[in-house]
Amino acid sequence: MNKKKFLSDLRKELSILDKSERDEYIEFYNERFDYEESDEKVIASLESPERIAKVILNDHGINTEQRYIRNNKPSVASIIGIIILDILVIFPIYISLLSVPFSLLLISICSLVGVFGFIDGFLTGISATTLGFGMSIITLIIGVLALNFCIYLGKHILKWNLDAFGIKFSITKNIKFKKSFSKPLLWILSVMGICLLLTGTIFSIIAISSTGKTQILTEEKIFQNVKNINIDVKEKDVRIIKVSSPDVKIKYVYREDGTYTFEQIGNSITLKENYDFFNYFDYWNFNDLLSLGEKMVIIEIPEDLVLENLIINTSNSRVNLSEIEVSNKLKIDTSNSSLSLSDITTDEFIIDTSNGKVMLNNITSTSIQVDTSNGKITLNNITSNDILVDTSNADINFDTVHANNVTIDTSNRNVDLKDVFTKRINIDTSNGNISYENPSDRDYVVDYIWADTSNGHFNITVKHTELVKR
Amino acid sequence: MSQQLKKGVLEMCVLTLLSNKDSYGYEIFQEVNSILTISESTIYPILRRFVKSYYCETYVVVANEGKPPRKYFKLTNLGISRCTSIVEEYRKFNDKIDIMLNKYWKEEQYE
Repeated sequence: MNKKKFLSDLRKELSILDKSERDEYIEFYNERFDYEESDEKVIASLESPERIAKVILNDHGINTEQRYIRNNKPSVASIIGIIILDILVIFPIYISLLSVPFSLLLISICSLVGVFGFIDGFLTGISATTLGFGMSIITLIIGVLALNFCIYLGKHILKWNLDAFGIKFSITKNIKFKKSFSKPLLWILSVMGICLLLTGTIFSIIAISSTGKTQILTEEKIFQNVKNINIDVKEKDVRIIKVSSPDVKIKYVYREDGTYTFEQIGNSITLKENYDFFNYFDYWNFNDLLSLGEKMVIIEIPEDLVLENLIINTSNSRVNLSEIEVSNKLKIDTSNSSLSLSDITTDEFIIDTSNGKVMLNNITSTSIQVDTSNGKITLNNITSNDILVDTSNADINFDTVHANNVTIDTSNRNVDLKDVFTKRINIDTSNGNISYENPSDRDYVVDYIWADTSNGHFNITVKHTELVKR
Repeated sequence: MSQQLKKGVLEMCVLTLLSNKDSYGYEIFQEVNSILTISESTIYPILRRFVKSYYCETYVVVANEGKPPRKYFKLTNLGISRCTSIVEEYRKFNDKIDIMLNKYWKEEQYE
């Protein structure tokens, strides 16, 4: 053993002390080597590093005996016990705790990004920006602190485990809670965040109170000789009501600051809401939150009128249609809305929505096309030549359907068909079950069935001439 | 001499030694050791504690012949008054123990 080894051993033994304290002792012993000619002589006259450390640690009130006992080899049973405790208790709790900082950091990002969705004019713009940035900063600070705490806790858990297993690791010693923000920066950011939040709150109050003054206006127009109706609006419920008067009346309930055009060319009428690029962000703002459900389009049509084309384009709103007859094309295009349509006669029927359920009842048509995602599709009492149904992650249910060609496409969900009388049918789902039966007429023969599911079961009991299963 | 007894008086011994003259760590050990026979490792924590509680100051003396500098310990006023009070306390304590021993300890009994 030489001087270097002696000192490094001593340093290791004293590692539980603070660095400054440790260095003082090392300095004493370093100096000690200068008083004699050879290092060997000094080492021979000194006690072993372990022994010296024990005396020093005792002087610091550290019970060294405990340390040595802890580093003894643990029994197999206790190791298994600790592992079970880790997996069943500590690990789940720690993981759920860990989700806190991550969700906070996510909120921080979201509130920053979300700002852009709210920019609509000066007041909402200012309040959204300040609120968003303030929120972002505050959640960032809390998130980083929480993350640090989790790391600190994680180290402790690791140390506790390693200690329990009798493994000594230098990284697990001297665990301290480190703040990754310097203190002044932390203070500046906090104050900034709180100021922004306060400003944002004040502006939002102003913005909301000024919004309250925005009037909801109603416009009514009467049209004659109407065959085609084209509605293109946003965030407004669309209702069609049958009346006994001979004219078509469109009631448009809208916000004061909205702009729109009514147009009649020949026998076609168009209601179009104008929105430019900036109004595009308008589609979910304070004003809409306050007047949700108040805005709508009500179309009154004569009882005996047969329209040629009816095209409705809206978003995030309900569309209620029943007892309608359209000779050519009926198209409904909406998003995030559930649709419930019944008693409709048309030639071409196109429904397009996303995240909404679609329920069709008593429909007579030449072709039906339903396209949605994440919404359940239910067809009840339908007569149509071609039926095309497309969704994902949702069930498809058919009951009493007469058709020539049916195409069904979903994934991850079940397809349940009952009394579907068609010549050809294509069913495609990936992880769902396919069930097809015709209890009201068990002798009906389907020409061609093509059924495809990768992980689901088949339950096809109808008679058929050709069946392809995949 | 028992370790327990030594431990109790070691601080006082070092203080009195330093009240006589400034000294460095190893020399302090050697001098105390020549009378009391102590382990070297007990001296350094005591010296460190003295500095911490302002009984001692340190200064560095550069030795000649190319030898490295030595860290000398010097008692402060606080250290001196601490030394006076602890010695006085010890004397009183010692007298009382003597009374105790004189009164109850009859050496002849066990001879």
